[in-house]
Parts: sequence; C-alpha cells; structure tokens
Amino acid sequence: MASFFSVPAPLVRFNARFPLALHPPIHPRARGPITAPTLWIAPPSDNLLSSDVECLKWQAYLALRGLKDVRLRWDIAPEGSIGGALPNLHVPIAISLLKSERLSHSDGAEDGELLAAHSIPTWVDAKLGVDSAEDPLEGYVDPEARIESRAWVALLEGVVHAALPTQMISQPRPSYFHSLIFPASTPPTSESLQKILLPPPPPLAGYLSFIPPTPNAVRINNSAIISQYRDAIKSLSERLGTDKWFLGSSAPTPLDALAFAYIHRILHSPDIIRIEVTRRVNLVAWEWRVRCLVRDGFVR
Amino acid sequence: MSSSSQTKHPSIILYIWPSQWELPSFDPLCLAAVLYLQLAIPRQFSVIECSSPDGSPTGQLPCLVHEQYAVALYPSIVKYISGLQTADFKTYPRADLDASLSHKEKAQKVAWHAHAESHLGDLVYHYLYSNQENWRKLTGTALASMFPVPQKYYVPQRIRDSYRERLLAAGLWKNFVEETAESPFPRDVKPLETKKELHKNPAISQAFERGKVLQKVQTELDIYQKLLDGKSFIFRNQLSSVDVLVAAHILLLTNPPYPDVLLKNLLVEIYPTLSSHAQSVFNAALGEGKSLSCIPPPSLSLWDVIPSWPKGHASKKQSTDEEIQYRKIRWGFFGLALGSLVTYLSIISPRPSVWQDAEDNNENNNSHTGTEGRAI
Repeated sequence: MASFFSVPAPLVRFNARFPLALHPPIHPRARGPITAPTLWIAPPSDNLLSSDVECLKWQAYLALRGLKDVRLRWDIAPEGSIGGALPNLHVPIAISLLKSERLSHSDGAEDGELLAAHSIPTWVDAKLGVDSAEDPLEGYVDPEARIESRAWVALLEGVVHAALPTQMISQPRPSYFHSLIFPASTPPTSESLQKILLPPPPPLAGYLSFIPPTPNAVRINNSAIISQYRDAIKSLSERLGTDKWFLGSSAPTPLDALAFAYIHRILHSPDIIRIEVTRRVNLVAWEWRVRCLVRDGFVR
Repeated sequence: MSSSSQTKHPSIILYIWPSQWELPSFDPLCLAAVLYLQLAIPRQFSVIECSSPDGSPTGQLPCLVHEQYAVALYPSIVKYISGLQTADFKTYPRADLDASLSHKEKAQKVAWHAHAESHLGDLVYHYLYSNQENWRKLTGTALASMFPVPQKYYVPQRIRDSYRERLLAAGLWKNFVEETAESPFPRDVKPLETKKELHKNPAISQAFERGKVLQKVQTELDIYQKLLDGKSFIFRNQLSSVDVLVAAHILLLTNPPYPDVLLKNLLVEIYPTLSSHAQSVFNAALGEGKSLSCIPPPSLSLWDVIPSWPKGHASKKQSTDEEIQYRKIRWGFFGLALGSLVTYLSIISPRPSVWQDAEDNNENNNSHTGTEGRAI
C-alpha cells in the first residue's frame, strides 16, 4: 500500500548506518516424553547429592522412604520451577496425583505433571499405597518424641542453617560502600539471615541515625552465631548417641532426612564449621551410612 | 534499692528493652534474661534499660556485660552465667539452673531454646508489631514515648520494619487494608456501589487473618501444653532455663493490655496450665520483696541522629604507676626524636639563598643602573 509520504533519502542513508541486527531464533530444548519420576535439583557437588540443603533434604526423604530409580536433573534454573524454588518432582501422568483417563490421553500428556516440594509427601504416599495421616505418632517412638522432633527441626532450620556458608558467615561480605554504589550486585543473603536470626540484626548505621536502613546493610554478630551453632551440634550428637535413627525411631523419619541434609552440607563447608561435626564420630558414621542409602535410590 | 553499705554497682550489667505493662521488659528475650538472672544470681547484677539496640555494646538486646566480656542473645547469656558457677562457686553458688539435668535433657534443652525462641517469639512479635490495632493503640505509642523528639517519629516504624521479613516468612505479617472513611458530607445521590473484591474488604480480610493467626497460635501452644503435660515444670519438676524462656513469652501474650482480647481469653480458657506456669515462674523470680537494681540509662540527645561507630565496652583499667612512668618515657622519647630532627634540619639547611640571590640581583641591577646612570 503506497504511503502518502516517503522517508527522505538523507534520512534513509543515515538510518542505514544503524542496521537492525537479527539474531537466530532460540528453539526450545528438545524434550522427550518422561518415563520415570524425575527430581529437579540444584547441581550436585559430588555424585548425585545436591549442594543445596533444601533439594538434598527432599532427595533424602525420597530415598529413605524406600523409593528406587528416581532420576535426577540439574540443568533447570530455580526461576523455571514452581514457586521459584527447587526441588520439583516431575512425574509421568500415569503415576501422578491426578488420576483421570481423559487427562492421560490429552495433549501434552507425555509431559507429565510437575509437583512442588510440598506435594511430594502426598505423591509418595500415593505411590507406596500408604496413608501417613493414619499414624498419629508420624513414625516416632512415642508422643514425647513426636513433640521433641518439632524442637529439633526448629534447631536445625534456625541455628544450624544460619551458620551455613551460603549465609556467608565464613566468607567476606562486600563492604557497605560497595553495596551503596553497586546495589544490585550484592547477593541478598542478608534477607534470609533476617528471617532466621532472632532478634533481627540491627542496621549498620543504627536505628537512631538519619541514614535510612537498607536491607543488605545489617550488622551480624558472627561470633554469637558460631557459638550457638557449636552448642547445637554438640546437643545433636548427644541426642543421637548410638541410635540407628534420631530420637530412637525404628524407621527413618523426616527429621532424619533433614538432619542428613544439614550434616552432609556441613561436611562440605569451610573448616570452621566442618570441624564441629568431624569431631563427633557418631555423627560422621551416621552420615556415612545414610549417604550410602540415599545414593542408592537415585540414577542419573 | 540496694543497701547503703553497697554503693558499688555490681560488675554484671544487663542491657534490655525498657519495662512496660508491669513487666521488666517488653521484649520476650530480654524478659527471659531478666527472669533467669533474677533466679540464678539475685542481687548480683544490675539492669540498664536502653530504648534502642544502639545503646548496647554488641548492637543487640539483651546483652550482658561482665567486666570485659560482652555476651548477646539469651542462650549465650544462659551459658555464660552457668559457667560462672563452675568458675567461681563461692560468689555464684546457684548460677546454673540446669545443673541437675541429665545429658539427654541438656541436649533437649538446646533444641527447646531454639524452638521457643523462633515459634513463640513469632507469635509475640506478631501481636506486638504486626497486628495493626495493637500497633496503633498499644505498642507504637509505648515505643514513641521512650524517645525524644526527632527520634520519636521515625524510630518506632524502623523497629517495626525490622521484624517484617521474619514475620512474612512465617506467614504472620498482615498487610493492613485501609478502611475507607465515611465522607463527612453525605451526597444526595450515592454512586452505584460496585462489588468490592473480597481481599479489599477490610472486615472480611481482617477476620480471615485473625482466624489464620489463631490457628497457628493453637498449634504452637498445643505443643507446649503437651510438653508441660500437667507437671509444674518441664524437666524433672525443677525450674530450668527452658521454663523461663517459655514463661517469658506466655507472659507477654497475656499481660499487655491488647485491644484484641481474643488471645487472652484463649490462653486463660484453653491453656490454663501454660498461664499458671508462667505466673509461677514470674512470682518465683520477681514476687514480693524482690526488686531489680537499675542503673539509669544514658539519655538520648540530638547527636544520636548522626551514626557513630559501635560503642566498645572495655572498661578502662586504672593504670598502675609503672604504666604511667612508661607512658612518660615513651612521650619523652618521641619528643626527643622530633626535636632533634627539627634541630638537625635547621642546622644543615642552607641559608635562605633564594632571597639572597634576589637581593644580590637587585643590588647588581642597582649598581648597574647606578653605573650606567653615572656613565650617562
């Protein structure tokens, strides 16, 4: 369709100096139909066990509940998972939670179903044909142990988590001025520390000053965190004693999966944190035994 | 107050948030620290009430200072004070409340510290800081009354924001939905009311939030009720640090006059064992005839607006005569070195030859002109 006005020639010549660069199209990765349940995890540091505590916890949970031949993949970025958080479990439609004939024949059925981390226990129950809600003790020896397990979970997820090197206790943090000049490049580890530490860490410039507090500039009391961490490991080792599973349970419980994840992660951390666990022989032996169990449940 | 014969302040000082609502402190960890010290080392410590954590040596409250040691956070304080019993038995005979526990119970104690601090603490912080009604009528005004004029307007909100991340992660932070105020000038013709979305309706959203929070409260308190299980204390019918910590949190859920009385009724009716346990711990620590010795806090001034380096806490030791003499000798040495340097430089430096050259030049010029003048 002829336009009324044509672009004047000098302008065309000027624009020709800035050509439009066309990049080749990016095709989605070729994916085959999914045949076995696959766990999406953060990349492993060594032989199939993830380097992220959350992913490792769910790996241990799956293995300790007796599942075998679960596949793993670690090429997915966290932004690609449900809720922005790995791990996710990708299951074929035949053994998924939604059992419907119509769905299994619909388009995209070969893609299976993706479950977020909190749906994994339900799926495992469905696969093994067990109903966890029937057991009021949740696998523990007695009601006192069940109550006590809550306390140990709080200890692991609070005190021990705060001391892990992802929280950068043992690595140098960028200085306050660096975080002022380059605000985007500083990692947001302080945010997760603010969620864990009690009382909340105070801002660097203080509450009373006129400098407004920024989320990354907090004053973290490293020595207090390390000292609480030492007490936590000591009491963990004391409580394990020579038992096969924590709190004297006869079968592995979610607390064991959580404890294994943290201890395994600690053993791959800098010395200042690692040495507390390596001093305790029972924890090291327990972790070694559970590691063999967990690794057996997965294939690449 | 302390007896007149003892005018020296005790060497153990505890920095805490100020007292409110007839409790020694309105922060659960500070309250627990005060109760523990009162039970373990009565009359051998004193308390400083700081209105903000900037006043404490480590930047966090509660903070214990004993001569040159500064210890922050409740579990570390308990550990330090218990250590005093082994270090100095004569002065602190009953400093370790957990001395009679077995190894297994001591391990459990550490786990219960962590659980009580995080879970019960979240509940207390929710009721103090997140609940909008409580904040506006109770906590906000109490905090604002502690500060002088410039800080009064921005510091309470900052303190409230510091708990936001934690409560958001726990699902206990309520985003306040503004209630649209009725206009004082009623219109004759009201505009057609569109259906308001559910989450923007303030009354319904508040009811949902309250229900959610109460559910959480009941879950947590169930755990502690089962832990207490009808006994008078948690471990072996003897007071321990876990009892003190749990009691401090429960006291802060029952004692303050919250505008929202649902929680107090819940605690009194459904969990009477917990409230009576808390009250008995409080009476044991601060019942009749027992008082805390308080040191008046440093008053805030306008200079606090400027951020300062975190204050050190090392007390200046009295210098001995030998040290004074050494200091004099040291300064004398420096003075001598500097003086001899100045003298040396002044001796070997050349005369101010620049000026002399200029003078010479001037003289030469003058003589030249003079000779020329005379020649002409």
